[in-house]
Amino acid sequence: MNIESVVQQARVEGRSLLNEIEAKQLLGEAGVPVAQTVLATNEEEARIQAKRVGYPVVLKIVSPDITHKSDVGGVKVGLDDEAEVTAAYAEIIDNAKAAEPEAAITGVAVQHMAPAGTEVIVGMTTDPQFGPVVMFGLGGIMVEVMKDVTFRVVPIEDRDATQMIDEIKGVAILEGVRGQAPADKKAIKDAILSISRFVEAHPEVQEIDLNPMMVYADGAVAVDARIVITDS
Amino acid sequence: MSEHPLDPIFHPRAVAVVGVRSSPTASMMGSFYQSLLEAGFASIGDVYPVNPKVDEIDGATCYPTLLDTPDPVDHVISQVPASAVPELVDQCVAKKVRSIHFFTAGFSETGDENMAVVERRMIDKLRQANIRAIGPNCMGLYVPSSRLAFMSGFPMEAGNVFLLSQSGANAGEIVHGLVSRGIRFSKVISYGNGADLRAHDFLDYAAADPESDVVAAYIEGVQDGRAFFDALKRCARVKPVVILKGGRTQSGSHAAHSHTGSLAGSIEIFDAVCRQAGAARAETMEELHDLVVAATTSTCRVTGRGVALFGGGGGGFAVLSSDAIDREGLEVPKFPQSAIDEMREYIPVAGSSVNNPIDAFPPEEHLEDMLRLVATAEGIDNVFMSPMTGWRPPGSSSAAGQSSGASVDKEEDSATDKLATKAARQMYQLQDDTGTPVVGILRSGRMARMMGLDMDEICLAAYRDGIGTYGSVTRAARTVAQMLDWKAARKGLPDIFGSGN
Repeated sequence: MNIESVVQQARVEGRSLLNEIEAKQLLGEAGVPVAQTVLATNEEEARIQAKRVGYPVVLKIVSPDITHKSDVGGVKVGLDDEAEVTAAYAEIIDNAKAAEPEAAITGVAVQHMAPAGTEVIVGMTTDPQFGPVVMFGLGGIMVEVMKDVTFRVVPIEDRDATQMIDEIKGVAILEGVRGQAPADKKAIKDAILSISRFVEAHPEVQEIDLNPMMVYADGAVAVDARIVITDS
Repeated sequence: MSEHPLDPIFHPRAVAVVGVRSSPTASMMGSFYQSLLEAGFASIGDVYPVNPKVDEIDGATCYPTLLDTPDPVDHVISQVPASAVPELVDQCVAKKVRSIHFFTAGFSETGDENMAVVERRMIDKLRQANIRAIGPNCMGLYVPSSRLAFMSGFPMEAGNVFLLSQSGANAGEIVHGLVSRGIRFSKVISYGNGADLRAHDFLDYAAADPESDVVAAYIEGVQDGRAFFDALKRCARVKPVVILKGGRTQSGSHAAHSHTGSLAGSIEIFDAVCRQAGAARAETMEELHDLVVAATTSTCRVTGRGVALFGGGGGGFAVLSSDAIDREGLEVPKFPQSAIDEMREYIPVAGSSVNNPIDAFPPEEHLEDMLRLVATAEGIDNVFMSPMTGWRPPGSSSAAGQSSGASVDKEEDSATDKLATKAARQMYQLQDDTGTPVVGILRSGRMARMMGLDMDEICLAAYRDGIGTYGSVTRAARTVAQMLDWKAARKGLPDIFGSGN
């Protein structure tokens, strides 16, 4: 799957938002660690894909018309076997249809469920004055309430990425509090630099969200991803 | 050496002031003709006043139009109303001038779309004729080495600080403020709306200009973000750049729009741009002044947070100063016992403190030894030093300013000068002997005057010796802390401060 064909397909369909499968595929190829996620369009495919990505799995609705997947009951986590996947698939489709009867449903994303880690956010937006800008912050309440985020303009150099991680107010959380092992800062840095290179090479990318990305003592993985492209 | 494309702008052979005011006073804003004469431009080139309603100014011929002036005219200052600008632009093209500065306002900054179109058209026409424009809506150039000045009272001694400012009045304030601290300028540009030449062009020039060592900027809005980012990166890589950004708040950004037509943009992103480029960002006018002083003196060589505070104003001052230093993120470490013991030999008096901060006045013959002990004590990275009453010249029992009679005043003036030189030398000597950066604390006011200390004179004398001085302990501490943060943020970039980047 190359970006040109994904972008073209989205434009043909009148979408500026790439779906989760597309976004993860492109970012994965760009060197950003993403949880493996594949599309299933029926229950049987869901069972096959679940086996492929490995249990436990997460199922999420894929629809160009549904942005907030959890709000419509479109996300089921911690599925441990075929029976649970089958039930979850049907339930997600029913919930989505009930909540958004007009929504086009592409299918269901099947993803290996990543273990909990320190949640961070890596994002990219387009500033009207300075163009592509990468954002980094701690996930959850830290970004929502504390607005503890930091920015750099693309292209981002090694020293910039290092500073981004070290200059957030909650950096102590990454360094390990209450006996937690320190989070893998290098994995975060690599993700930031990969995003920077990716958007530099693809000016049609207008927004990226990795929210959240789980960071572990060794490595990191983005469990959700979205990409917005320009209209033309 | 190849000339920078903007270089001719700073070195005109002749200047025409079109729409010149007949009033001979140089004191008001917009009296460009008079400011040029006062600056002595006539010793370098010709200056032609142009105004069809005036025959002569102070005996000099005033020409009816630009086309009537002798050739060549390299630089035009436009004081005509906006409605007369299109005609003047045509004349500039015919006259083959190299640059034009529009003091004229009333274009894009008004928010009137028609005037924004007029602005774009005149710039297009000038560009086609290879004429560069400064402004509109600005004060233009102050270049001491070329005897160009846009206000009265600017010194004609050239220096090493380059200033670009979107605001003319702020440019004036920065120049006057920094001149009183001892700083001199290589080039100053007030560029207003920046319809043609804008921040990135001037940063690009400053980066390459051998006469400019430090760059200061007042910016309200950036028109071309990517070009600005790239130019700032190139410039800040090789020279200290200090930026004061106006329009940081909602009210400020609204004011910026009606002032220079600027969209102030997101402040978080602007801060990121500065950090990435390795430039320092000042929060206030005062911080800009202090950071430029720091960047041009030994204050830029600070390497650590340990401060020894020496000389002061009693125990209460020591307490408040320690609070201030701590608040700004620096430290007031305790001296090692061995140093305290040694100092006690010089100051046996009970009731004085030889702990840090030192609240004691050593006898003059021991002052140097004391200072050296302090400056070299373990954990001390900088010495904050105030002039001390011990330096008051013997015999001058009356406070300066209280005496009457010209000859006495003169004597007192020279005593004050000597005192200033001595105070400055003491700081310099200490720094030179020990290698520890000395930061001057000059609290001016009535008390200082009563002690016979002219802080302005000490400030200038210290600056000549390469020592930065600041008006309070808080300002000194903040400046040193900002310097340290700036250097830390520049990790991975070239060392432009001459030590411990």
